[in-house]
Order: sequence, then C-alpha cells, then structure tokens
Amino acid sequence: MIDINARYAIGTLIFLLLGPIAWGLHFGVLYGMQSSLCALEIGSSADGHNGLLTTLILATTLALMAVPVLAVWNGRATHGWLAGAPMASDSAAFVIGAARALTALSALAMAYSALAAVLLPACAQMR
Amino acid sequence: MAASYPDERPNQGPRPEAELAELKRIWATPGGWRIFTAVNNTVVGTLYMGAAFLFFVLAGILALVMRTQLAVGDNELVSQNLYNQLFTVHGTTMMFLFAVPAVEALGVLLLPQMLAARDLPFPRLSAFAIWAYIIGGLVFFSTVFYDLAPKGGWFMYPPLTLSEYSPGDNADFWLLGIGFIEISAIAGAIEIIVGVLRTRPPGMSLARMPIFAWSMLIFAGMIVFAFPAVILATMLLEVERAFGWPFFTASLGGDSLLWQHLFWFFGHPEVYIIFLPAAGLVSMMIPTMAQTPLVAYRLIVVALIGTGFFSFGLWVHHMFTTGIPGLSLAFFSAASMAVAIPSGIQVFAWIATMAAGRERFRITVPSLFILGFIFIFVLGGLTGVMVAVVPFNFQAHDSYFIVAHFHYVLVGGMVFPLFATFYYWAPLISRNMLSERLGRWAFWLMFLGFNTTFFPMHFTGLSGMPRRVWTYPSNLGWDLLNTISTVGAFVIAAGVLVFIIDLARNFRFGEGGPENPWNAGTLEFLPNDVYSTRSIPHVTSREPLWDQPNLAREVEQGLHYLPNAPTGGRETIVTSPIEATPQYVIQMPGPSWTHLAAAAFTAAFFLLLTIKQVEIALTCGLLAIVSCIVWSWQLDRPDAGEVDIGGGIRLPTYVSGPMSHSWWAMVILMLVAAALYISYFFSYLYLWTVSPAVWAYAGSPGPPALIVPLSAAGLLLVSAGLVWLAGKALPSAGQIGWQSALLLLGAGAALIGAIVLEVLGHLGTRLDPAASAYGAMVYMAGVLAGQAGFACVIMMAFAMGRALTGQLNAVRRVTYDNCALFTYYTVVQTLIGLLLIHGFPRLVG
Repeated sequence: MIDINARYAIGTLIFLLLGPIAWGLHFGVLYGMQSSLCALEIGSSADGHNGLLTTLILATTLALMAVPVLAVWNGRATHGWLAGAPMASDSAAFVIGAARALTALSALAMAYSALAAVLLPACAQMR
Repeated sequence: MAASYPDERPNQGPRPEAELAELKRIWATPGGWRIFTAVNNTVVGTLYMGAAFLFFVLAGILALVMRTQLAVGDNELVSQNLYNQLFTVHGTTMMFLFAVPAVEALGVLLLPQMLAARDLPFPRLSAFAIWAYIIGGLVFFSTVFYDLAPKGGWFMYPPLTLSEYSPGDNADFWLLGIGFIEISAIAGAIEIIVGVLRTRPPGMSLARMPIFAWSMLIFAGMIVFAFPAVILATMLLEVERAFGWPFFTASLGGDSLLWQHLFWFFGHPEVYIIFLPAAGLVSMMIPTMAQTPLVAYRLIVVALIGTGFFSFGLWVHHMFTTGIPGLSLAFFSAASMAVAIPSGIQVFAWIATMAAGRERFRITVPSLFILGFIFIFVLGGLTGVMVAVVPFNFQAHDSYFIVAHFHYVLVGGMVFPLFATFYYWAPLISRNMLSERLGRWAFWLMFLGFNTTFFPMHFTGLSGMPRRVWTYPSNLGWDLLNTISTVGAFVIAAGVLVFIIDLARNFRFGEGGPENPWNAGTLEFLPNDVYSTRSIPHVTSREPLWDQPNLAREVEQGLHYLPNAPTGGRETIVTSPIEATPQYVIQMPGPSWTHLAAAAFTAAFFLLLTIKQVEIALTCGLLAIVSCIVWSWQLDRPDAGEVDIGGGIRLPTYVSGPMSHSWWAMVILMLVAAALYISYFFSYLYLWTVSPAVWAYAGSPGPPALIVPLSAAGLLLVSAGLVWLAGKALPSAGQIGWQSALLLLGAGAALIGAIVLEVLGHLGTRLDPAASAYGAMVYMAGVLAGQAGFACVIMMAFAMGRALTGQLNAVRRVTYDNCALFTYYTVVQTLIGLLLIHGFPRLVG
C-alpha cells in the first residue's frame, strides 16, 4: 500500500523523531512498570524499595538511550534503511543534525527520569 | 540553506491578461447572503479569528465580574452559584473557544500565504470546523445568561460533576458542547498537517520551511494525540451521567482520578498547543524587526519538536497531591524539568537574533508585544519550574500562586504574541495598517495592567488564599492584594478597548494593503489577491524575499508556477512532504452550503442531546450525515489530464493512494482514532489496577465462551477480506461497479455482525454495565467498536453509491481507498479490543 514516496516521507519523519519516540517509550514503560509492579507488590520490600524495578528501569533506560544514539550516529545509513532512498543533499545536513540534537535532548530527559529511580525508593508513598 | 536560483523563470512573460481575470473569477468571494458559503482562507480565517476574539472579550468580561467580586472580602456582588458558573465558563471559553481556535484561525489565515498556496487542501473542512465552532461556542457561552452554565471548573472533575452532585443539564452543556468543539479542532488539525506537508511551494524543503509552519505542524500533531484523551473522558463522564455506567464511582470500582489522568493528558499538552504556535509567530516577527535571519533555526525546530513531545510527560504535574507514589511524581517532575530546556533554547535564540540584527532592533508595536511576551513568559516559566518541584507544589497547590503562574504562561505565552500578530500581519487582510500610536497605548495598558493583576497573586497564594473561592473573609490580610489585582484587571480591559477602537478606526477587510510594510523575508508578504499569489514561486532559501529581490514582481507577473487555472477551477500544487517536489495539481472545491448545513446540524445534534430532546437531536444528526454525503459527493472530481505548470513540468490532476492528499488525511484520522482507543486501553487497565476486585472472574460474570470472540474475529476478517476484494473488482472507467458494490455490502454486514455478536455475547452472561466499572468498560469497548463500525458503514454506503453511478473505478478510486483504509483500521482496533476484553480477565482471573 505504501509506495516509495510515502515511505521516503514517513521514514524521514520517523528518523527525525527517533529520539523523542524513544523518550516517549521510555516514559510510558517506566510509568507503566512502576505503577503495575508496585500495585501488584512484585519485588517490593516493606520499606518501599524495589530492587527488581530499579534494575528494570536502568536496563530499559540504557536500551532506549542506545537505540536512537546508535541510529543517528550513522544517520545516513539509518535514514536510508528507514526511508528506502538516500536523502537529498540540501536536506541531509538539516535532518541529520536535527535528529542528533533531538536524540541528545531526549537522552538527557531519559537520564533525568532514571536518576529519580536511582535516588528514590521505587514503591514508597513518601508522605 | 540557500540554493542557487535557476537563471530561467518557470514561465515567460508577459502573461495573457485573461489569465488574471479568470483567476479572479474562479476565486471570487461570494457576495450577499452567499458570503456564508465562502471557503477562501482569508474570508473564513478572518471570520474564525473574529469569533475567537469575540470569545476572548466575552470571557474577559466574565473575568472582570469575578475580579470585582473578589476586590474586597465578604463581598456579595454575585452569588456563589453564579460565581462558579462564571469561573467555569471563563476558563472553558478562554481555553476551548479562544486560545485553540485563535491559533487554528491563524493557521487557516496565514499558512496558505506563507506557503504561497492558493488555499489549504480541504477548504470546506476548514469552513465546516469554523461554523461548527461558532454555532456550538455561542450556544455554550449563552448558558451563563440563563443559569445553565456548568459549575465544575474548566477541568470538570468528578465526582463533583457526577449527576448526584451536579444534577441538571449544566454539566452536560460542557461535556457535549465542548466535546463537539474538540471534534472541530481535530478537523482543523488534519487540514493543517496535510496543508503544511503537501501544499508547500516547489523547493521549500523541510529545511526551508517558515518556523510558523513548523510550529503549526507540531501544534496540529499534538492535537491529534492529545484531544482524543479528553474526548474519551467526556464520553465516559456523559455516559455515566446519562446511563449510570460507573467509570468514576469509587463504590462500584470506578475512580475519579481516571478523569484527571485523561483530562490532564490533554490538558497539559494543551498549554503547549497554545504556546508553540505563538512561539512560531514570534520566531517569524523577530527576524523582520532585526532585519536578520533567525539565529539557530535548526535548534528552534528541535526545541519545538522536543517541547511537543515532552509536554505529553507532564500531566501528573497537575496531580501531585492526589496520593500517587513518590517515584511516579518524580518521573513527571523530571519531564517538567526537561521541557524547560527547549523553551530556554527558544528564548536565547530570540535574544541572539535581536542582538545579531543588521540594524538596531526596531521598536514597533509588534516588537513591544514581543518584548512584553518574553518578560512575562520567562517569569511564568520560572514559576513553572517551581511548581514542578514536588514539595513546593504541595504547598502552592490550589492556591492563587497557581493562578498567577498559569496566567503568566498563557497570557504571556499566547495573548501577547497574538496582539503582536494582529499588528504585524493586519496588512495581509486589511487595506490599512493598524495605528502605531493606539497600539503603543494598548500595549502599555495591557502590560502594566497584566503585571498589576497577576504579580500580586503570587503573594496572595503564598499567604494562603485558595483559588476558585467566590469570596473570602476580610480579616485574613488578602484584601489589599486582591484590590490591586482588580484594578489591574480593569487596566488590561482598557488596553483591549483601545485595541478595539484601533480596529474600528483602521481595520478595513480587503486586498490592497501596503505591500511588505515591515520588509519581511517570507512569502506571505508577496503581492496577494483572492487567489493568494498570482504564481507560485520556486523557493531556494528561508527568506526568499530578502534573497531574491525581484521575486515579488516576478510572482505578480506570473513568471513562476501555475500562473493560471488550467483545469478551469480552484487548484493548487501538491508537493512531496520532505523535499517539496511538485507531484500533482489538486482540484479544490469552491463555495457551498453543504458544509454550513453539516456544521449547523452537527451542532444541533449535540446541543439538543444536552437538553434531552433525543428525537429532534437524532433527526438533526441524520441531516448532518446527509449534508456531509452531499458535500462529499461533489468532491473526487474526474481526472482532467496532465497540465503544464511551467518550467517544463507537467503534472497529473488526479492521483490516488499514498501520493494523494486525501490518503494522508485518512491516515491522520486513523491516528486520532488510535489515540482515542489507546486512551480507552489505558483506562481499562488503570481501573483494573485500582479495583481488581470487581473484575471477572472475582467480582463480575466471566466473559462469554471463546466461540463468541472467535466468531466475531472471523467476521471481522471476512469484512476486511471483502473490502480488499471490492478493490480488486473495481471496474474500468465508464462502467458500473456492481461487483464492488455487492462486496462492500457484504463487508458492511460482516462488520456489523461482528460487533452485534460481541455485545450479545456479554449480554448473554448477564454482565450489567451499570453494576461495576468492569461491566462499564466491557460495554464501552462495544460502543467504541460500534462508533468506528458506523463510520465504516457510512463510508461503504457512500462508496457503493459512487460505484453504482459509475463514479468509482480502478483509476478514480480515492473514495474506495479512504473507505478501505478506515475499515482495515477498524478491524484491527476491534480485534485488539477482543483480545483485551476476552483475554485479560482470563489472564488475571
């Protein structure tokens, strides 16, 4: 159903947004994991700590940071794979540069959230 | 990012005089009563903006009444009941009837000009959205005059808004009226996304797109994902109020916090939905006033996208005191800190652009409003970081500190740039500029009035005054601060009044205003007429009017693309989404009563439902569908062959599939539907985590035997298969599509059968939707499937009609493609729903 024009457009937009998409997944997975594991009391200790959850959060963070970083590091190849065609020369610098900056910004936001998981007890009400 | 400009212009001059006369005739604005049928972006965009401004003034008057009531303690100017209605309607109007529509109005008004398109790709859809909004908005606002206005605040939290605590129709006006206006906003968003991606001029790649176009693209994308959450929330609350399905009733397994999650998943991005376009406008005006290109264009694009995404991770920011565990709060606090970074990038880029100017930054009225915006918005942003810190938030929550904070963000972030916009872009649609002298008065009154009103509120809040109170004891030390705020509010009103006087004296709608009075570099300041620009330029840089000094004259002489109307109707060039390579010439519809009738009947349907006039409402709903069918019947015009647009480029006038703009619109509509369904999915799982005790098998009848969902799934797959076969059976041009029509009939029957079977299966287990939140959620899946299925059946019937009248064939197939896309989507959504409803209880039960 998707022809080369649509694939090129949608692939380029996805490439541009790789970092924020990874951040969105990270945010959703962290919030979902924390809510459900704490609600179901899986891995929780009496003082509200949850080593299992903290480990899962850190692993998720590393994985979801690594994917866009590696993808935009080799931007042209990733874009070509996603879009099915090489980028026009006058757009390439803009799109790859923007994708890298967005990935850096998203990685920082992911690091903020992960830091909270390291510093705070995972399931404590804290008030 | 500038490319070399070709020596040859796409067309040679002089152009035949008849071309211009034909363009004027084709794009003429209808006169007299037929003005209501107009679809030209300048006409409907101005109407849209006028209506939004009217609502701004009306909501502002309500604010003045509230401020007068609060000027001193123990005041009884208005009753508590009326005050509750005033603050609810003030907030609702400002957010839903002013801010979002004003921004969409600017999109409709400015984007075609900035992109040098003759119009956006779905002009009747824009007009429909505008009329639906005006009719629905006026009726909603008028409720405040006859004690029918909602009283639950613009956020309408249950349990206060459940029928036990809010009897009568007041809350329903909010739920149905605003829910309907959200649909209008989504229609506008689809138009803007497709417009920005597909109607840019040749050569205007993503890297050369005006920042306002970027910001509107992100704005519209955010609407696509944010608004469905609140639409689902309003559906759930209205269903609970009308039929007693207990989504929000704790005693039956519901949870009022579900509303807050859904509402704020929309509500926090809403702040950025309002702010980002305003930031885009500022990024357009500052370079002009500094006469230099925008510093850090690429970083500003990054900041806009980053803000758009991060804003979806902030919603619990509004729920810090609701008892959510500490680490969850920290995730949202972290996202709140992260979103400050892209906002900061923009502010620093603006300051750098002012400093880097080729000449001293010109202090004009737009500049004053921009400087006022930066001052106020930065203060609001800083208090935003404060309230993102959880312990501080606990202290400031629900106090006047929050009122001060969000007014600094919203008024600073949106209203001041909007007034700058009025002064800057007025020459596009007015024969006269607005007055510099009156504009300066308006600015200073508004700026001083604003800070006088809202700055003291920080202290009022920190000294303990709660928000949303209709009065307060006069011995608590809040009187003086409140009196100052009230004086400030009237000073703001004086500033707005001066602006209205300026409008009355100087604004005269029509072409012929001064050409590029600010010496801007972007395309909206090309010579314009009813047809937009005479020819569509080939763009090679971000500021084409600065880089190509002769461009305005060349465009006006018709030396660029499409200087005429080769199909004899309204048309513009559709280009590829990334590189803006010309792909085809779109044939666009002109003026019509159909979209107006559709808007009026849709508004009547929702509003009559509110007052329980079900029979008349259903009749209006039917008439709305008929109007939409008549409207759509006039679209999908036959292929007019290839046309020459100049520069040796010949383009088709009919395409289908992913090349077509309608395919893109349908994909975006599917994203809207998917966002709504994801919100439902979240709601189902959320209520399970809150009350697993009412879930099957523990507290409710188990789901029906597996044969029921398996049969329903089989019917869904049959439906999708028949739709696919109908596509294969499309006839050649000129033939009647009997086979396709019959296959679509079968597909519709199978789809309806699947949904009916699923609902009957649950009825067979005696599961009662009013008995528990579980039952309500199970039947809600059926409601959502039925809603999507109903849309599919209407589209199938429409495609059948086209096939049987020889207007649907293997080439002219856009109607079928749209129907097939949405049916496939509905089948997948319903299959996922079956998996959730039948699989999850078995998994956890």
